[in-house]
Amino acid sequence: MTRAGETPARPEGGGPETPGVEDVFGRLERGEITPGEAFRVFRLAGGQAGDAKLEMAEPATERRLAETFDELEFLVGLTSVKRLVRELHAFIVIQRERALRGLSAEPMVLHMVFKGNPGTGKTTVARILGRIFKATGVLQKGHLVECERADLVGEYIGHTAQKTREQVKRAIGGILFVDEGYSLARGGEKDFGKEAIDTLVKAMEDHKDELVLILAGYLDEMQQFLESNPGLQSRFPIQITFPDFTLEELMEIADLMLAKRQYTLTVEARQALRAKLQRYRRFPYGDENAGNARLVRNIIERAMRRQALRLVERSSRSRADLQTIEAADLDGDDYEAGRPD
Amino acid sequence: MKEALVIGRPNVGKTLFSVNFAEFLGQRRLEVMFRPRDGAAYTRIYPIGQARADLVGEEPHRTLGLQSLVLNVPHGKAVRKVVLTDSTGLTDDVHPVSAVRRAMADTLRQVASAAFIFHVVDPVSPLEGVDLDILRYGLTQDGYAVLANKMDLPGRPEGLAALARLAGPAPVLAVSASDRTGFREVRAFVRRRV
Repeated sequence: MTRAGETPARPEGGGPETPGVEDVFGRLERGEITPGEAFRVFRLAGGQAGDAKLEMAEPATERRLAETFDELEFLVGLTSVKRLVRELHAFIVIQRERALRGLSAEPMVLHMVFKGNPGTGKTTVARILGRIFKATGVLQKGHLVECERADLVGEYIGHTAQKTREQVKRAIGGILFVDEGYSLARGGEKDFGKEAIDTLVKAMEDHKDELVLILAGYLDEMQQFLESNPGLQSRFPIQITFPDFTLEELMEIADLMLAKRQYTLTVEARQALRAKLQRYRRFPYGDENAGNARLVRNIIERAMRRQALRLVERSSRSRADLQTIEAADLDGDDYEAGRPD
Repeated sequence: MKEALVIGRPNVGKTLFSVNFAEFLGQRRLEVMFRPRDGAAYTRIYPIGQARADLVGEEPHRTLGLQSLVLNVPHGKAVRKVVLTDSTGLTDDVHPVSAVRRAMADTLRQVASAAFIFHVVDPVSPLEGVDLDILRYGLTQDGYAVLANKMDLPGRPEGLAALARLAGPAPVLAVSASDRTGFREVRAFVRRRV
């Protein structure tokens, strides 16, 4: 114990500026420090001496955040999207820190437009964002509610607002992901889609701290949609374009999918797959999803079924046989398989 | 037995919350243990209404020293006991009255050992001063939660969103100690951690 008037003893390991926690109570009682200062000492002492305690406390969210970022990094390609997600996260952290230190903090408007073809990673990235927003405390739940025109637009007057509000309600605390958002403006003035847009805009205002709205869709259509609704453009400060995957990226995605499912390709099968992907990219049959991950998945799943058919007729099968996909399994027209689901 | 400590500025509703939350958990009589610095701790038994009348007041620092009561928190089919300790209001500045300062020091002593800290605030205005220091400390602790009280009064729902943003990963539970709303969430918070 220290006698009054003496320099308080410092605990071992405590910095020169940090008085011992033990003496904090005495100094508070004598009126030498305020309760706020006492808490500051506690926090600093905890940071220096009680790392173990801190590790137990902080961590669940920190760990989840680290895992989520890992998952983002593992996504093939999408370099610019990943950079933007990291920027967003950093922005949130810094704005919070500014607020805590009494500096003015920008209000965080996180509604977004995702532009890109189907299967370019829009939903996957939205899901990851949900988890990041949850871990950073921006959203309470961080779940993703996916919906499209049919879920929002009703059949008679008043029905639309009701349906849209229902979806908004489900998404409170998380992300409302409207796929093919541009389709809400389809059908002109008399269409109920406009009512859905108005209801969504109102919800963005009413629940601006509890809901992030993401409108997703094809690049050109989304562009047109935003240009024809000038009010919307400014409400979505974050616009992300998802480029089509390159052939190399599609092959990488295929490798990841196969590895996850414990299959391997023979050299010939690999060539066949590459040729097939190249062909679809060049002649997309008027379909926009030729350059995307979903096409790869469908081709691979179809090849797995054909491999199974080939093997089931044999009298004996080795472990290697069960894992190997041959060029013949990739034969045939996959156009149907390439359709979005 | 785990201890939940209720802290905050004077007059944010710490004692009213403690008493009404106990009642919400089914207690009709409160066994309150007073722990004065000089002298032995003693216990008084109050009918719940009497506790409200005697312990809750509008003048600041009505609670001078630590007051603990035992809560029965339902946990599955069992009941877990948690000590809820109500404390003296903490001020931004050094308080001129030594008895109040001493009571604040007692509160701080309890902070280190409590399993839960309920930081009661009035969300009508942005957090500042001692509230910010408590929040920064609380963000490093696992059982910390902000109780945004007085939600029945005007202006609070607007302030709540800003508070939640500021608090970040720390849970913010909106309650009204006088109307007894939001208590289920508080019970769930405790239940998950006992």
